[in-house]
Amino acid sequence: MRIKSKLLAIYIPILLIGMTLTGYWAYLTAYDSVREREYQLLTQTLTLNVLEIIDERHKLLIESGLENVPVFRKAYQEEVFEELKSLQQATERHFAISERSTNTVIFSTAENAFELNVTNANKTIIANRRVAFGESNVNDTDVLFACSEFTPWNWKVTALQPAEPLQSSLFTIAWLTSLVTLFAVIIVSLLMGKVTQVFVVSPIEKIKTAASRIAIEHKKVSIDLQQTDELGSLARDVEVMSGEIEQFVAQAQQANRAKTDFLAVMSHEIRTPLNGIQGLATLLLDTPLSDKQHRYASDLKSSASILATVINDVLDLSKIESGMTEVDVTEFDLDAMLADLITLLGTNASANSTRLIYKSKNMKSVAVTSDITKLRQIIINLVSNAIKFTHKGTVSISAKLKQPSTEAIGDNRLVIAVKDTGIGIEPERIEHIFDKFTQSDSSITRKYGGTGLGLSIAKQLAQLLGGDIKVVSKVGEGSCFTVTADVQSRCMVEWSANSDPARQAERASLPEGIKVLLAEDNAINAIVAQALLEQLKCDVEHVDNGLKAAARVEEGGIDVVFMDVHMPVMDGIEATKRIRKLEGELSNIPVIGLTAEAFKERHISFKQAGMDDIVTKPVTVEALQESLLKLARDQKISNNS
Amino acid sequence: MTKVWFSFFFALSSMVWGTTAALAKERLDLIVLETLPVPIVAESRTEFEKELVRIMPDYEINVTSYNAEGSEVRAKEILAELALKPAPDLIVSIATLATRALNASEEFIDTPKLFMAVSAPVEEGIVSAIGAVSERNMTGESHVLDAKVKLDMLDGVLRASNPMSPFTIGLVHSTYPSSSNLVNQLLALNNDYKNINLVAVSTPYIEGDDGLVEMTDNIIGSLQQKANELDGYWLSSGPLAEAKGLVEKVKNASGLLPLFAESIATVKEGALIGVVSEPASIGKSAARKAKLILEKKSARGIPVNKMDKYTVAVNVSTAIKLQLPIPSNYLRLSKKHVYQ
Repeated sequence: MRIKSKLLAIYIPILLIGMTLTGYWAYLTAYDSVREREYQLLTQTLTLNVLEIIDERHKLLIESGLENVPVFRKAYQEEVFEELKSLQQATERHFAISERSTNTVIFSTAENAFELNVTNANKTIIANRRVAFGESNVNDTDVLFACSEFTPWNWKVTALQPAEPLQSSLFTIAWLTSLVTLFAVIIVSLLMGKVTQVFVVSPIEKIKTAASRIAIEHKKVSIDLQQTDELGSLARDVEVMSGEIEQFVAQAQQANRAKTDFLAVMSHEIRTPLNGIQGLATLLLDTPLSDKQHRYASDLKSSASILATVINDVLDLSKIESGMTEVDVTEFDLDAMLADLITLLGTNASANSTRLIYKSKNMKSVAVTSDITKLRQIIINLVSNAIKFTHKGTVSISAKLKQPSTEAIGDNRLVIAVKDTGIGIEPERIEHIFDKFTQSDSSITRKYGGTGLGLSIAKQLAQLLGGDIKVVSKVGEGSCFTVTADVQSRCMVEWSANSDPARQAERASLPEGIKVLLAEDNAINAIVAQALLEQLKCDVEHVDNGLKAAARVEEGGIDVVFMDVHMPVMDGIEATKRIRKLEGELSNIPVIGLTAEAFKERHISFKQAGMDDIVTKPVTVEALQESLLKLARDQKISNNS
Repeated sequence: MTKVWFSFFFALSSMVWGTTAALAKERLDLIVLETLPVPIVAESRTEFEKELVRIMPDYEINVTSYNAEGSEVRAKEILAELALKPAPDLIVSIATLATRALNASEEFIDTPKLFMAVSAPVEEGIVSAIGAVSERNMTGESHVLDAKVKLDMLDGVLRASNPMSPFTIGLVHSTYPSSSNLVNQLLALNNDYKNINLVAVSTPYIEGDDGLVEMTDNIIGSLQQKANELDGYWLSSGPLAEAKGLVEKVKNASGLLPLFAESIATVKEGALIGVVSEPASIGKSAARKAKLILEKKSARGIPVNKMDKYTVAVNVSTAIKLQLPIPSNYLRLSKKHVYQ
């Protein structure tokens, strides 16, 4: 609810209660006033009209000495009756005169006889006459009455009127009071709404807009608010704060760039010798070795591989946290991809005496659009973990799309659950399971290895894909990690394996004797790369800088160039540009970059310089093969021999 | 020296004469012509003169009165004699016969004329209607209340007693013009009042004091004859209303009491109710009109009206005797004229 609505939701009931109470008080005041006025009119009519009419004649008789003349007295009393009849017509009040001692009615303008209940009557004195007045019920009708006595003639004089006009008047007052109260509430609410809008909501909205801009742009803002009150002060504070934020963000960005640069350099500097270690170990294992030597070489390769994994994890995390990770969506057969992963990881599971089960729902013949690399990384991470912590158990992977797909591409939700029967996670540690460098137990690191970054990276990757990873676990029974992600899906009626680029690549075959020019300044890396390429039946020629590479390409006879990026004399980028400037078909020779730089944006810049593909160090025979197969599939390379 | 003294005395005499002339009041000559030797006429004239002197202090009012002794013929003779003399500033006629003679006189057509104590100026041909002006250079006021109002008043008194049958009332009058005119008006309106049945009781008008006595006797005789038919009588304006002892004589002779009278004196003597213009009011009102005329406003431009001030009088003894309670509003109006 917006603040204005909230304020009005508070104000209006308060106003309604306040105005209603005021209105009720006004009604009661008006009620008393109207009643008092009616009684006043009635008693005044009795005293100043009726009794005056009587008294005037009585005095006239006294002054004329006719008081004791019956004919005059009777005639004048008759005159009184006649005048009261006229007064009744003029005032619509009724008048009655009765014998005071006997209560016998002498005269009445009312058609029916009536008897008043004067027990609770009020008493007052008007014009030196004692008057009783009040309300009574006469013949089932409420009436107001006033009565007094005229002693000289032994009369009791009564004036009465129906209470209905008074009640009608009071009803009108009540109705008007309600209407005025309601009207006042509406008007005051509107005014308060307007005032609140002008003095509170509008300034807050301006500050909020400024805060949003700060959150998005991290820039200093200027808030158009000239008030000198608390909100104005807040606006000034926000302006100052935004300036500081801009400054801090600039510093942070600078620090981040420095960190990224450092990581890039470190990545390159570590990967380059690591490439040599891994490559040489691989080459060493292919030579005749004693069992002891073979074990040493194998351990060397494993250690290099673990080191590479650690470096990759650190780089991944660094990229994610610096916001440099981008989502690269492609359409692929997720079901097949997961099945292949299960097959790939099955070897590890078997080694741990663990059974790996995969099942899917709504995913047969369905093309999914998402970032395949990140999904694969997440699943590998979770399944690898599950296998690692499950000994002689079962790891089951179930994947499903929440909604069945149609032929038209549409949004969907991918849910993949990785459930194991492993050691489980203690409840107090489960909430920290996705923290960086955290495992459920420090002893785990010692027993099972790992950097503790895998789950953190997986969770952040899942969040990048619009989903998340949740975990439920019970110590001794196992854990279940559930990955969700926003994807798009469509049903492929004639789905064939050919449409999957990965499979295509797998099925393509490399021609033998491809003339490869290897440009690499690091002698060890050159030896490794050459050996690996030769394993792929390539005919490798080595040069140690870019200038030589460009010159060699110009001479002709080269099918593909593996070009190290950082080389003396001329680096790989410049050499690639020169090659692209050669005449004829020579300018189209595919160039595959070799780099220890792991950041994607750097790879993009290499491709923009003219490179066809990038292989990241430490190079493996699989990476080299995949890259060559990709070029072969694109018909960029052919065997010149 | 003699010449000096002569010149001195001449200058002194001129100065005294001039001062005297400057201090002398302008003289206004008025002639009053009256016919009926009754109190209303005499009192009205006296009050007229007194009021005129009071409201015109800067003038020397010289009033010469002529009494026509109740005779129109005598009035005409007086006027013929006056025509031979210098014309006065104003001629005032009192009562109907003198006014009739003055209005008819051609000799005084250019002399402004004022009448008073005339009950029916329209019927006398002075003006065509009340509120109109006279073409014969005469103006004045009728001192008599409208006949309908009088009947309304009497009807109000009678109605208060809730009579089972109408009161038969003898309408006593003479053939004196104002008296007979009023009676005719009353009779014409009688049918509108269910409580009143008017019966004309008339006597011929006889001039002079002896005539008044004779007229009184005639009326007493007539009422005596009709005593059984009548519940009372109405003493109309005119000479009979001023006759001394009439009420008492009628009462003694016939036992009838007057129910309505047009003189305060008659109410004092026993009339149930009466309404009349008092002579003082008549005289004062006429004096105010005379002042206008003497200050050079033409009598031709002053309309003839009725008086606007009347006096109500009641006699409660008669009311009690007749068991006719006088309504409180009349009793209140009577103020100082409640008699017993």
